[in-house]
Amino acid sequence: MLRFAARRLAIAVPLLLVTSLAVFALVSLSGDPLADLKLRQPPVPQHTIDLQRHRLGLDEPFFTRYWHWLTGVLHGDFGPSTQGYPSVGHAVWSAFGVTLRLVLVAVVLAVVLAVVVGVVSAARRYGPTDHALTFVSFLFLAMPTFWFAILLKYGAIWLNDTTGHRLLFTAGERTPSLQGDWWARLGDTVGHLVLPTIVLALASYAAWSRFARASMIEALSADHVRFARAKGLRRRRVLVRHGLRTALAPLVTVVAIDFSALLSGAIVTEMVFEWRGMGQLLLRAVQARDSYMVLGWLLVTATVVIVVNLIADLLYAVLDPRVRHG
Amino acid sequence: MGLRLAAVAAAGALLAAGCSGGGGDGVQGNRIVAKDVNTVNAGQAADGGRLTYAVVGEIANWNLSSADGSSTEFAQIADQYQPSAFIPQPDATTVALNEDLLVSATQTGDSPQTIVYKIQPNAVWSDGTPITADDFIWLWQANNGRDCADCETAGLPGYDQISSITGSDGGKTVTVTFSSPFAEWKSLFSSPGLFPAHLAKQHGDMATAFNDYFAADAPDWSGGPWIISAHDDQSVTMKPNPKWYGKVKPHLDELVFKILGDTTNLATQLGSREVDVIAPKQATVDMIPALQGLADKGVVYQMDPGLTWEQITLNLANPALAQKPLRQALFTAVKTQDIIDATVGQVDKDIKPLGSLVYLPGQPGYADNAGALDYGKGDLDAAKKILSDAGYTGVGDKLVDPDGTAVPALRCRWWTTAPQRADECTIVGEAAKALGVTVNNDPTDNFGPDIAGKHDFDIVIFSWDGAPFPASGAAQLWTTDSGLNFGSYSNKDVDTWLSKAVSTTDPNAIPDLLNKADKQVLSDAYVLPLYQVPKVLAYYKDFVNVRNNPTNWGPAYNTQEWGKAAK
Repeated sequence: MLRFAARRLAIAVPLLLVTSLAVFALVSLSGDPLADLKLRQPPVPQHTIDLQRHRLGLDEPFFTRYWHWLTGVLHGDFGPSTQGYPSVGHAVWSAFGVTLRLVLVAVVLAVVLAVVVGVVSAARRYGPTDHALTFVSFLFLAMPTFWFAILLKYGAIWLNDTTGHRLLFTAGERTPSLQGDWWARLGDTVGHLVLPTIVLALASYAAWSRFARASMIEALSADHVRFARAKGLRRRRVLVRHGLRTALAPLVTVVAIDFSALLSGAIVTEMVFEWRGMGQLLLRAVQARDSYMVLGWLLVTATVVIVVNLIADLLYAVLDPRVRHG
Repeated sequence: MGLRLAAVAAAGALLAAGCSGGGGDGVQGNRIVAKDVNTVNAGQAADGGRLTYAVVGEIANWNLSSADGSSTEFAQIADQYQPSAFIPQPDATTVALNEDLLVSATQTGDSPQTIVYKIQPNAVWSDGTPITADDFIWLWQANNGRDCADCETAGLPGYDQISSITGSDGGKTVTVTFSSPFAEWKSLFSSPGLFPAHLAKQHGDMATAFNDYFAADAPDWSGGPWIISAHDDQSVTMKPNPKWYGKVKPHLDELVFKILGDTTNLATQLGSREVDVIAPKQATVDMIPALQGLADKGVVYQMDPGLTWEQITLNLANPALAQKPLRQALFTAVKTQDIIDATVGQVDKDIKPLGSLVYLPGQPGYADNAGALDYGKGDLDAAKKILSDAGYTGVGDKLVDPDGTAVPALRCRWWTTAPQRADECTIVGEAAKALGVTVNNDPTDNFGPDIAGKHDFDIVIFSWDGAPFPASGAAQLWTTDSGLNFGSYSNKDVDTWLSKAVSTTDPNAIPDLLNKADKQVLSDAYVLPLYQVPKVLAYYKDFVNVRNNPTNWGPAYNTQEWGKAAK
């Protein structure tokens, strides 16, 4: 298992290098990062443009700039930002923390929902319950995220108005400079987290529940499950211990892939709910042609993808003994 | 989305329409129509409470006079703790002396131009250090382009024309001498206001203080009514500055600037009372109905003409558009009112076609110079006559110039961040088609490089933020080879008039010079002004002294007066 993990990590490093070079090239070629500066009225002095060009390394050859970035990363320096941020690293990690908080809760909720719905659907397949759950899943699959998010916001405002208390918040991660004890802060955090979590969770659960259902149906058709039933084991035990355990393995892979994608930025949700996460960071960086910020985003995202997929593979081994001993 | 002209203080006057019979403001639904924009929503404020004001933008850099930190959004925050010499009032005409900071600011000489500022004796920074000439000198040296070659300045006009600044009377008298006259001297030392020179000197050389100390993090100092008590990437919270020396002490316990990324979230935020005041840079069509829908929650709004205007610019480097008759015919054929009706007129039905490129309606000096030329009236017959008289053939079909060259298809470009301009280009295209010219829509999401950089357009539609002191802005737009003269316009008379307008020390001479330039630019059919963009402000009516201000200071020009209405 350790050798497996080490092999995976060893492959990841050159992959990361090639990807970072490609992204650096793409962003660098997308335009002049100082173009908007030249648009200003009153005009920005030439000496400022020259200073910024030098600070951003734009007066250096492409590969020299890339090399400086690469060696800088090893010392924790992610390079200068064209947007004026004092530290690219700080901006990226700050955004990552925001997205992680948002996505973690949503994914846990979505996985639980998906598994429950998938199991129930599979156990009562082609029955009224299955049809109803399928309909709901497809409804959320088809629903545009931004539209659903806006709908939820209006629902939250209605709830707040009806109860006379601000229970739910429609934007941001927290109330600025909140005064109060620990409970007040927790309530504020939860109040801000509810709506974007619901949006993300329902968008994810819809696809995962279909996967879980299909996986579960296949597992329930397997010989070992039939044998378990034939032995006279209780239905619940057969479902959970023998069926679900097998069905979870492929679901783990799908969740890992989607989780990585979500951690790189749930852009629509972040924009609607004004969460300054990885999605917004990337969007702003691309618009500003901020190549170092994009690379910082890439590094963090790539690391997350590698780690999450590694965890998925390890979980797979836990769930399926054949992988462990094979 | 507009490009910025010079940032400081008043320019166009606002329409101050009132509909009430008595002395008060008028109300249409929950829209406040101000009888006097300078005093609308005036009232006695109670002490205490908190107000959250929404600002759309980013704070990556805390130095307002740096290239990376310069933005009107951030200026609303920085103006709370950086004292300014002058503050533009909501009527966008009055540029008021900041009497909290200064006793007086007077021009005492013409040749050389000399301005004397007298600082209030009790004006101090939050650490108790007096505000003195040293602070004026520091700001000047950082921005004049000579004393700090490594300062990444935003290029504020005027500082490079100052030859010396001296302090006297214990530093409370500041004498500023110019090497060449600068008509718009009231824009100096104002948003960006003063920095504490004594703190700057404790943090390295001038460049280090400018680029790092004042830029990297929120200030823990203040020379204004507020001081920052907390901040993160989504908000800046301020408390009253305990050392505030001004006449009016802040009424609120806390003033919070909530930083949002998107204008579309503003009305919802207001509705859920996560913010108390919103002042979107540009109102969208669905925003007004949304604000009207919040009337029963106690939300009111003002909508007044702003300092931003929309215009069509032609590229004279295009051989076809280099021909004046074609340009004149295009501008005569386009109907500005149709453009208004299709776009901003859905937000505010009172908007009329704009007639000047240098002044805004209501402003002293405004004249409908475009109307006098019959531009924007949609008169197709007159437009066709211009072309026929000039020797064009195929008018109304496939236009051919007098040399026998077919007029090629033209591209109408606009920035994709403002989708309403698709309709504007379409209307221009229809007018051109009636003359026999094909115009194709060609939006760009790379406006800077394409338009400003490569001048890659035939027709372009965008907006400008109006100049409080319009001479500097006009010079940048119409002077030969100037940076923002995208369409390669050149006229020696215009150059002369604008140069005189920028350098005269007689403010009364400016309107005549600018109008001459305006008439010439319009006569040459280089740019067609379209409309003045309305400025919206919405807030909960239990707050008093919150009012619209279309200048770069925005509604936050008088935050120490804000508060809940006293009972």
